[in-house]
Amino acid sequence: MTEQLLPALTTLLEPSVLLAVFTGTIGGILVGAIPGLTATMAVALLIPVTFGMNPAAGLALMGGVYSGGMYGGAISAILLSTPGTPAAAATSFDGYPLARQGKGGMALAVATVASFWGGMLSTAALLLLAPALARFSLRFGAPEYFLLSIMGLASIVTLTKGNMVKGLLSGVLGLLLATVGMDPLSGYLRFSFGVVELYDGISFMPALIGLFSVSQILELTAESRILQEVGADPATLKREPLPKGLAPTILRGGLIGTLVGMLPGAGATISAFISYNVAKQLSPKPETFGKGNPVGVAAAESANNGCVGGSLIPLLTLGIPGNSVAAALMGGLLIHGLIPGPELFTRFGAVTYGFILSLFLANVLFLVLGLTCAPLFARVVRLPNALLIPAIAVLSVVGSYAINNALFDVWLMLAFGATGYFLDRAGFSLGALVLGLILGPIAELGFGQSLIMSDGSWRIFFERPLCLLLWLLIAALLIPAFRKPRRAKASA
Amino acid sequence: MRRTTSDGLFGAAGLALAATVALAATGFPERADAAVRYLYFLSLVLGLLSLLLVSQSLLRSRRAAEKAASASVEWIRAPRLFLGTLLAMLCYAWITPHLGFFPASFLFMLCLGWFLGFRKPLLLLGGTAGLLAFIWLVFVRFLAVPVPGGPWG
Amino acid sequence: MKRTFLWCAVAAFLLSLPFAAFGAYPEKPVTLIVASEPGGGTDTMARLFAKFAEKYFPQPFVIENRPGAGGQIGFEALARAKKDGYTIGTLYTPHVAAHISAKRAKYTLEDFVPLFNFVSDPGVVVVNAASPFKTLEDLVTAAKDKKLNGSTSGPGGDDFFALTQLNEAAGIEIKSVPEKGSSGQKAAVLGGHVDVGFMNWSQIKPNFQSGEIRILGIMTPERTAELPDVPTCLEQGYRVISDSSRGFAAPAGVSEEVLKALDETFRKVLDDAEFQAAAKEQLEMNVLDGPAYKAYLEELLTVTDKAFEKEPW
Repeated sequence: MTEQLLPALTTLLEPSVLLAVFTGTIGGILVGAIPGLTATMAVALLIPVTFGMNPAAGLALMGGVYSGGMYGGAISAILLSTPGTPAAAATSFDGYPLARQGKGGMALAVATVASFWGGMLSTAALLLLAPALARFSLRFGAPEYFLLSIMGLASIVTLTKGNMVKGLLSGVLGLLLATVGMDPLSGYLRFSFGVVELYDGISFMPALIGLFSVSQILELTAESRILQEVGADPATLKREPLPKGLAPTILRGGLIGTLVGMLPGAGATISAFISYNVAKQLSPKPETFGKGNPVGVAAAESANNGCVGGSLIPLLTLGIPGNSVAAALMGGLLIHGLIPGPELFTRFGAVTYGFILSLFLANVLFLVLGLTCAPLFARVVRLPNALLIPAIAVLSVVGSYAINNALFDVWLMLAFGATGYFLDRAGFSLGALVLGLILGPIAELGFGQSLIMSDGSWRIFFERPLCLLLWLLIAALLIPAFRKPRRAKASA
Repeated sequence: MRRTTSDGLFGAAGLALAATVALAATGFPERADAAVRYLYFLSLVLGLLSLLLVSQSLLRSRRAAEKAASASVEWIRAPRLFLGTLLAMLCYAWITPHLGFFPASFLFMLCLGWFLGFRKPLLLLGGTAGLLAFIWLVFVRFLAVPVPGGPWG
Repeated sequence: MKRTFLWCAVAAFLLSLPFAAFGAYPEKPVTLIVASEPGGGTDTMARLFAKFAEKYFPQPFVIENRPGAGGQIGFEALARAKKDGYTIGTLYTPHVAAHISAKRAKYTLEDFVPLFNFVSDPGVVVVNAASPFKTLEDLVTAAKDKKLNGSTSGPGGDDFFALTQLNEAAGIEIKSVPEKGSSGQKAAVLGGHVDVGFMNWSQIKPNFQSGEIRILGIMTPERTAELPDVPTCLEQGYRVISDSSRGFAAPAGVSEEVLKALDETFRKVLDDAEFQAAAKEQLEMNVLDGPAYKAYLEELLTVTDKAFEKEPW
């Protein structure tokens, strides 16, 4: 490998490649921050464009879009509670309250730093440990996926503020909504009422935009500004020092992101939720989560950017893309005749390692850009709601339409928005609902596949070593959650 | 509305939903038996949790009655603005395919902004035009991602 | 930087203002409905075509992704599109026929004018390199003794049809473990979580070349030029013939003039050396012109009709 790095570095330093990283990252941040535009879309669009470019520049461009896109989602999630990408949903739990308290600039800086380290860590893993990690990822079969989704669902307990019954109900409602559409095992159409847009299930992005963004603007109609502290001094908006003690959270988040990102079908959204859950369970003050704790932002953001490197591990070594962006990237590799596998690291080493190094550069780039622009972006919360509400509504409409080019999704989004508003008012947890909606299909498919594989025996979930490990982790995540409410009640 | 009453109502709705889902699942063909079992399981959990919520609300409502209306749900804080915004968004979604995305958005942003109390016409016009130009650049120009169409784009 | 960017944008915009042209088709950009998500195989095929068509067609082809319901949303949108020649779209098999067989589709094959098939990706029976099965015979013998699992892409897809065909031809009962998408299938086969996988050649090409998997049989009538050493299922005594193809179609009812212009464009793109180079590694090209494509689709429909009668999805 070392002998490949030097030529790779020279490739990277070519002006065309540097320009590609730069353009890609900036474009990625933009695409990531706008709801409904995804990095997958941007990469797919670039595939034919990169054909005429030299492979190193083409890949660097796409890598920049991927890294920047994953980071960009945080900006709108924090400032407007409108996750630009699903993976940033967990970022808004603490980021948005921070923005409302006038600490949006700080929250953005935390997100930037966390994304940076998450990305660096996972890219380092990609550079140094790819083959070993890829072999490990293959040990995840259907039963493990099922348990992973249970582990994600365990976060419902932490997402719930207040009444646990309502939190669990929200999660189950999400799982139930996730059963709409084609049964993955038999192909039977459930609850789709002949509406072809529902055959594949409820489209996730419109639901997310509705629940988070539309319900939020309905809430904001009663206020004049997002910023709650009327007297918040613009000067403090500009420069608030980064809180200390984030390093362990970011490190854990990066690791979780890398590991979960490697698994095809799991992905950045789930890793962000799991990381958020872990951070809350380990925190000495779990009750501050969801009310504007920067640790929550750091946990979610380090994990979703950790997925960037993670998802490329099985892609480059085995040709198994970890998620849809990686799948589109594979098209970009193939068009240059770069076929995933061992040869990528030997014969095409200069290009491959150049690509990996360009990811480091993309991370540095969004770090610099993000930290410089954070205070600028943060000013958006000082705009009057009379301007912001229509603007967010327009972005929500065009964003939910763009995912599938379907007007149906716009109505879906509005329905989720209005329902979400009332559920939120009644004390239900929209975060738990979203989690159920994401994890439902994975849980159901994993469960069904496992039982086919084991011929109906439940033992399959307890016999495999990795399953046992996952059960332990699930227990470790759940126990503190059930202990704490009692203590809190006792003190109340 | 008191929170306990609201909880009771949502619990009842949950029970009804659970029953509907379970009933619908009985009509699935035999090859989808795995899906049927999964839905039974989910509706069972939903039913139990809803029952728990209902009983919680009944138990607590007695106690809460004495504590007066301390725990009440405020459904809508600013009814006029809330309903106006909701209505505007529904109209917007309805009119978009007829007018096309950009004209519809332009109208929507101006009207809703004015309705919500923004009284600087030039700024409102500028902000609207700016956002729409931005969307046009990113969606249409650079990414060639379609926006809802109509006779005038 | 920001300013340069802006200037570039303005310049690009001015340059792209359409020059006034009246009369002959095409006067404006042609929408190309892609019935799948951005980044997939069908999407890449369409985007490559659109890029190289720029050279031969006076107007751009604008991609519109209409994913969902196994392509059905996109196919229906194409069938219902205006017949003015400014909308064409992609078809892929077996889904386009499978939806008709399942009586879910609100279109029939008569709603399309098949233009050109580009890709056909033969099905393959694959096992992990560490698997004890060396031939299809080994697999069938083992399947008679114990329960085996086979990874497929789910009900109503080509992999599932292939598995059903093998089960029927050999009188065995390999169970289908459905996955969502080929990456899950690949992981299941490479991780040894299933006994066998029913996949498509392009999906496992890299893994075959690096020796991680073995192909027990290819589901073409005859051996392919690319894999001369891989026996077909047919020559091993099991009638399993399956592939997944991707091509282009226009809605029925467009004028002859339009069809002629499109047909010419497709032919020119297919002859383009650069296009061929770009398509080489990722599209399993198998060109069928309009009439041949139409015949292929009609034959497929009889196969999926039969499959649905036996085992609905």
